[in-house]
Amino acid sequence: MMKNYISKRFDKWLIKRMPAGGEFTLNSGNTFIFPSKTGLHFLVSCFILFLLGTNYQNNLILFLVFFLCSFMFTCLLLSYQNLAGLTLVAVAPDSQFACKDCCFKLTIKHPKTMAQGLSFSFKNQRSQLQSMIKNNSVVLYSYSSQRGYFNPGRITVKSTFPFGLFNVWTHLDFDFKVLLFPSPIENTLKESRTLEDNIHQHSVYQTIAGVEQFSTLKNYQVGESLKSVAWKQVAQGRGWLSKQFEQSAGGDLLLDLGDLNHLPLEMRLSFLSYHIIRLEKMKQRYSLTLNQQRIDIGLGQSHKNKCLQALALFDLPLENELTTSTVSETPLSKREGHQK
Amino acid sequence: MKEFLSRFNLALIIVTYSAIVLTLFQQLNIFIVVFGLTCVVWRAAHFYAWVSVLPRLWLTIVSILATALTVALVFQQGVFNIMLHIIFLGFSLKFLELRSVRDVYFFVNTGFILIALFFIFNTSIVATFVVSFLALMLLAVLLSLHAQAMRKSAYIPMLLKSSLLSLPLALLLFVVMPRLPTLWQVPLQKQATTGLSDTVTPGDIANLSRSSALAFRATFNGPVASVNERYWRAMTLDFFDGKTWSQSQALKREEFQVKRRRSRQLLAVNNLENLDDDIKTQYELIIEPHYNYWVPALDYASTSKDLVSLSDYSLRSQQPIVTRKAITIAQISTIKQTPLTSIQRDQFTQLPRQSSLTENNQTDAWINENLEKGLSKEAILNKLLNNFSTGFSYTLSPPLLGEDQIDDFLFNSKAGFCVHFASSYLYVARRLGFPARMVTGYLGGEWQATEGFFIIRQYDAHAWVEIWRNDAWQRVDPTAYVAAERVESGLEAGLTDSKEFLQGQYFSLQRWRTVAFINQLRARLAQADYLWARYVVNFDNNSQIKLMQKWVESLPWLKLTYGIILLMVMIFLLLLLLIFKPWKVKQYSREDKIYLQLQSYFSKRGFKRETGQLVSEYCDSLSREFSLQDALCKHFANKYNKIKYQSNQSRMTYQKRIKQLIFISKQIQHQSKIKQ
Repeated sequence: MMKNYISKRFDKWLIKRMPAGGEFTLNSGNTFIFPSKTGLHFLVSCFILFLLGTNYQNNLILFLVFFLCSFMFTCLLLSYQNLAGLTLVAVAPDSQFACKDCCFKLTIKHPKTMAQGLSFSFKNQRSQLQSMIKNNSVVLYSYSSQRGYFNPGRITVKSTFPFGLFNVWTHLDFDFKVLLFPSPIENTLKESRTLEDNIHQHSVYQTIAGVEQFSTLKNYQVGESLKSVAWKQVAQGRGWLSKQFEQSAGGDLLLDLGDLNHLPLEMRLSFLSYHIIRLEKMKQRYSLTLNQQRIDIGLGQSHKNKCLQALALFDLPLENELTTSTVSETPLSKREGHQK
Repeated sequence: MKEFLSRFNLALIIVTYSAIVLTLFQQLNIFIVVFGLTCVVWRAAHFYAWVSVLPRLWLTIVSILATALTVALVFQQGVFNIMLHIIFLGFSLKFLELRSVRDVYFFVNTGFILIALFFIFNTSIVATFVVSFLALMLLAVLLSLHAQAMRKSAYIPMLLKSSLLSLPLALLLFVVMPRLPTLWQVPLQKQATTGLSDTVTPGDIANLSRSSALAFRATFNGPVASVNERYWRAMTLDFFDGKTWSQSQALKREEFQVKRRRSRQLLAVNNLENLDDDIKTQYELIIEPHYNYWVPALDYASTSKDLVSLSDYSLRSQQPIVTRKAITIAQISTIKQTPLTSIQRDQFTQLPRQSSLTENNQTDAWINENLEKGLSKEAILNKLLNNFSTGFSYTLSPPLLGEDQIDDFLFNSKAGFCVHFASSYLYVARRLGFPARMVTGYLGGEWQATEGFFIIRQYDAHAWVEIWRNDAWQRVDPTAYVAAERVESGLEAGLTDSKEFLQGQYFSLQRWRTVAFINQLRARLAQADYLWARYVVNFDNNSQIKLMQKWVESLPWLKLTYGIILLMVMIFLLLLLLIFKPWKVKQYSREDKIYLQLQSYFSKRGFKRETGQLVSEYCDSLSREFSLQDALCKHFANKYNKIKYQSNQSRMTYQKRIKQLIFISKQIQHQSKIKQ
């Protein structure tokens, strides 16, 4: 209870102290330094040594104590120096699917030297996957089962370099806003029937390259499978040709949310999401109807994104809207702060 | 952070542990050392994957057995030794089970305590180097945990850098932090006393003379004692049982009082209502630990605080000397000698009762013969001394003496060490009725000309005689008659056969002092160690205050406390400067300068860049705010990003792009002017 309250207050304070932004340079304004657990143990042993040195009136032990204390102090500065000046830039994330670990990227801009022993994580760790640092870019993973806009929260950058006596960390809000599509759920049962109907209505058949039936002969190109060589024609002396096959691609499909009314909304969206991906793979054209909203028949990456985006944003549940609204509020409060 | 240890961590830990075991080798029970080495072997075998880490059960069994063994072994050696061994045991067991990072923290912290304990035994400069090295090793273990990604070659510079940066503050703290008095009585390590003991049999001092270990060092703050006056008295022995000289009951009682710290009363009674103007010179001793109470002093010492003077005006410390200790003593030329009481007279003429075992008949006969010749008592003693200088030899390995020691020495072997001469002289003196006593201590010392101090080593140990004549104790050194060189230039010169000097001590640098280079090295080391002992090890509150007063005097406007605070602040600032190097001002690249110039131009017009805003975002909002050409602003952002982030652009294109960027920036500013 108490803990919850404190962490809430802390988050509020963080918002004021470090408003969201796309680029951060770490400095004394946005980093925290506290002795780590190791550092506290270190201090305790320093105290024991001090008692030892005092009781045995041993100057050398006392000097060791003073040295260790002073060393700790140097570590404080060194550990800050390690992180200070590090510039992190957020890379705008691509839309991804819900119920999967979604990845976010940061780019590290270095003034001169590489900061040592950095670790990145989300403040609210939701994913099991560890973050990765590779060639000045950091990949972090978060997780959400909710479609719609998703903000994974603040990123914690932490380092215990050089001696682990101090933790230097910061919670940065990069204002990530990633669109999560409904997670696809495999299904064939009910809607396949409705789709069959659609197929009959709009029976403009297409063919695509496949294996089912023979279509034409084509000049053979090195690298093609020998199985497809038209040996008959080779024997006739007509040169090397290869047989081309094709298969039926089916007709244009109309995907409609209304067809699945007996199921809960989220599941329907997931079903549709699955079909969009499936159809895209099969290179079959499709259109999408979500109540009033309608997307015309089409095919290709942008069409797919448009459809999935429509699914993701369709009739967002309140909870999700709330999180997105807080995200959009932050820049506002920030602007007010600047006017003051 | 990684929870598991890398091979590099493990290797470093194994090396550190081994180094600590080897350092503490002398202080630990041999079985425990063997146990430690076994741990190392096991860990090393595990490192090469020959064995697995001990399972929990085995580990528990090993710990219980090891603890039981340790307690059984060191149980009788006092609390301090038990403490040391238990800490070491914990350290070893942690080392044995080491699995995760957390174990390493425990390992490192215990390691620091162990190496600090090493300082209790040894405070020499060499020990300091060893301990500093070990401390650096322990810090390196910490570093290896937290800088996994760092190149291995960068470890040592990193370590040295952080240590060196820490030194100034550490030194300042060392100098200005007041030393607290002992907070509670601590157990001392029980250890055999070294150096002089409170009984002397012929042969004892000869054994001491085979050691080149340091006994103490002395600096004079005034005229240096002349060669013939460098008799450092430690204690007097006045009871003879025919073989051994020891303290009489009366003296033992005094000693006991000192040990019981009831000596304050004793002080007042004693002979020293000394006069300040009588002080001949002052000298400072730095005594190596000998785990006993005596303090060597020249004739005659005035009592300073912490010291007690016994009735034989030898000095005693109130606490056994268990660490290197600095003591300042004022030397005075005369003291009031209280006449002997009849009890004392008896005490100082005591001889073993005539029994069949220890009859020195021959000696007695010789005395009687001379008396009958009409020689005075004085003359007989002088004759004895003259005899010494003719037919006797001075040697470290005299033949064994029979039951009648004095007879055997004077008439048969005629070869002996200082105790032999002193003992037989005393016997004769007492037989003749002179009150006399044996004095043990050190004679001479090696003069270190450059630093101006004496080094007195164990082989300078000596025994001589004090005899009560003309109502005063007078020093007689019978050895001087057989080997005058012993008094003037030390043991090596005094020996009839100089090969005896430090026989068998091949590793002693003293043994090789004829080799010029080694001799020089030895002198340098001795010098450094002396300075170390004098100024660092014995830096106490007094010297602290003196030093600080000196500082303050040189800057009269400075108050002490402010001075210290000022110094701390200065060191703090120095550290800040050294670490952050502000003189290396941030160099802006040309594109940044252009961008910044643009920002400042518009911020004057009331439009500021928000923190964290990217260039493109900034340009976007700029065009909106001032309704500028959108493409122009976008162009600026693109150009900027290209210059900044595109890899391998040639110098030419860079120059060209910069020019373009300047142009665009000017265009933007121009447009905004027109719009207004």
